[in-house]
Amino acid sequence: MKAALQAATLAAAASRTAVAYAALALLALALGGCAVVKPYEREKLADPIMNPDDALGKQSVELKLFSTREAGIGGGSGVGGGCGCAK
Amino acid sequence: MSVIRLSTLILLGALSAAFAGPKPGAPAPGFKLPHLLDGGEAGLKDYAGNVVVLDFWASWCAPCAKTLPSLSRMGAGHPGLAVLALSIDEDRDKALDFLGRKEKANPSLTYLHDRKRAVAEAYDLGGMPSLVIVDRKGLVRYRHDGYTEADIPAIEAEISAVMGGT
Repeated sequence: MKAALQAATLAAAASRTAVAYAALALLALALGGCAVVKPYEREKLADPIMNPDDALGKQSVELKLFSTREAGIGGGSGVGGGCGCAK
Repeated sequence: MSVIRLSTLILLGALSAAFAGPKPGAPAPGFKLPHLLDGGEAGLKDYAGNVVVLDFWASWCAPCAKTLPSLSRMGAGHPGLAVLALSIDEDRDKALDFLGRKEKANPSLTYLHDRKRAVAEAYDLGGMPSLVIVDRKGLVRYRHDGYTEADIPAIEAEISAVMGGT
């Protein structure tokens, strides 16, 4: 009976150790994937095009498509139409 | 529990290593950079014996548009103070556009171009814009990593203290 209890205790301890090592390995992996971008290296990141809410780029493309599809001047600033080559 | 402690230590270590520039009291790293507006070069050695303010700015740094004019006033208000405005823009034209193609460049500032960001790296800036006050002995006395207009009065007081103290 005692031997079985000891074996169960040892197994539980081993399991805890395994979980701890797994957590440590995950943390090491997570930290390895991190890259500190220094404030003075953020020129590209500061570009408006990097904004996930890229209203500027998205709107201009949508306006261009709209004015092309409608074959005329749209409601915004888009001009021309038809061939889709007008600016 | 030990894993959590270990993780915290690793994180703290990583964070402390993240910004390791010269702290107040340490010698200011020397440099030589080309002038942004005209030809020629200038470096920290050229201002030996003077109190020097290093201001790091960039055209893509929105707060810099507000802090640079304040810095110009600061330069004009302290005779004998050298204010070096270091642009870290990769593209010189963008920096010049930011300054209104030289028209808005203030004569009380010396504009230098740290295109490769070597000086920014040597000082290990923790924000943009950043400002470093170097005393007459060439030691870093104060540094402001990521300052705003609200910090200008404190910076002025520090400059006055350094100019009067050494």
